[in-house]
Amino acid sequence: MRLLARLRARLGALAHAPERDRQMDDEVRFHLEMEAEKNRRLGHGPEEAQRQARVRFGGVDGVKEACRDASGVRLLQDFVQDLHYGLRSLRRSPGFAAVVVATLGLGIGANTAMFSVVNTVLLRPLPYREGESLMVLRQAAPGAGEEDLGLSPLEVQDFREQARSLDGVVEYHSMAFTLLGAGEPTRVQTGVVSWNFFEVLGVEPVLGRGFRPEEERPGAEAVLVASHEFWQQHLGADPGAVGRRFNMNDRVHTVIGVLPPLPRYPGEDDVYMPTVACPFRSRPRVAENRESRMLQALGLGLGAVTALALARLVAGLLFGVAPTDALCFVGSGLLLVLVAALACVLPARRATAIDPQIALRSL
Amino acid sequence: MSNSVDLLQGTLDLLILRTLVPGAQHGWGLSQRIQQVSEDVLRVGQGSLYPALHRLEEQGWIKASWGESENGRRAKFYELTRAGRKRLETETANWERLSAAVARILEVA
Repeated sequence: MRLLARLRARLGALAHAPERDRQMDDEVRFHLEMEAEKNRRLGHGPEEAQRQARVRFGGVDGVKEACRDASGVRLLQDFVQDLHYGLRSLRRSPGFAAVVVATLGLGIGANTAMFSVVNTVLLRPLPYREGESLMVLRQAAPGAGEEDLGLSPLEVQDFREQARSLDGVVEYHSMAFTLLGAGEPTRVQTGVVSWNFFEVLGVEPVLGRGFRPEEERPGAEAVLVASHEFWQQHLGADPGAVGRRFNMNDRVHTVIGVLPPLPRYPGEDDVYMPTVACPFRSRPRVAENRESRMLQALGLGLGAVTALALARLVAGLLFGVAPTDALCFVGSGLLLVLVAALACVLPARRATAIDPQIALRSL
Repeated sequence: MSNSVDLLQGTLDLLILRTLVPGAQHGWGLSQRIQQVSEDVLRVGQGSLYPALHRLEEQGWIKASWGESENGRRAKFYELTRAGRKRLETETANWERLSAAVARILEVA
């Protein structure tokens, strides 16, 4: 507690430094006057009295400096003085200052950008239920240089039936269709998904409902779930949007639900439909062909996955460059070193370019 | 000056605190009083008195205010704070212990 009071006193002393200097002057003057008076009473002449007083007192400035030391403001005062000096020198050579500032800004900016990416991709999980255990299943053919082959519907079925560590496996692919019936014909990016897609992700519609299992059976009525953005922009945020019908792909689709505003994952889809409603996927050539791979599969792997593994997949999916890429880290580190070196070298070179004689003279 | 004894910093603090017990005093008055009471043995140089006063103020043992001196001049007066009084007690006790110990050694040795 006393420490706080002392710190306050020091800061106060610093703030009132000129005032305190004046006070010190007054105090010293008072002392000298009293001393001179005493000397006069002892019989010295007025001038002699004053001289003696001053002699006895000693160096006034020395005393004042010692007082300033004692009140603990020296450190702060020196620092403030150095700060002023630095600013003055910068002002005298604006070009140089600009170069140093730009260098530092570039380095700091680059690293901040890099960290932001890492932060959002790696450190913050997806806002879906159990986002850390959400996995994207990908098939790769490294021999053929192919990282993402996709999966065929039959393969997804295999995963669903055989993978024991996966709780729910859902399909996803995205196509662009034309929607009729909402004013002008609109091109809508459509996410074609398994019926339990929203369940697996843990997303609850704000209006209506998600898909039901029977809607994924061939021949079922075509239904749509709209994204929040689509509902706002093209359906006019109509609270009665559920039940509205639109024409897509020569079929009538009924809106059964609207999603909450969430980052649209895995793709930026306007609407969602069940797998069987997709004309392309439903073609026998696609639906029954093991080799026809256009799907991504998402699985909820409870207890089977570490967050890091997930992040790598997600990162790869979203950005194409994994932020845990060693090259990125090394590159960023080198950039920092370079920036620091530049920020130090430039002023140093300038300093050595000054003739010592001139430097001393200008003090 | 030839009679004066060099005072340790802590001892000077102690003397100042003690001299302020009767009441508030300004810097010059303090130096005069110490000189008087010690019968001229201790003459506190201004080089040590004022820094000591600032230090004591910064630590909160004394507080300062401006007032009128006996002859009508404006002067800075110092007085003990409550913490200062407590400090005086503990420091006096320490001093007595210290000087008693020194005296014992000087006797025996």
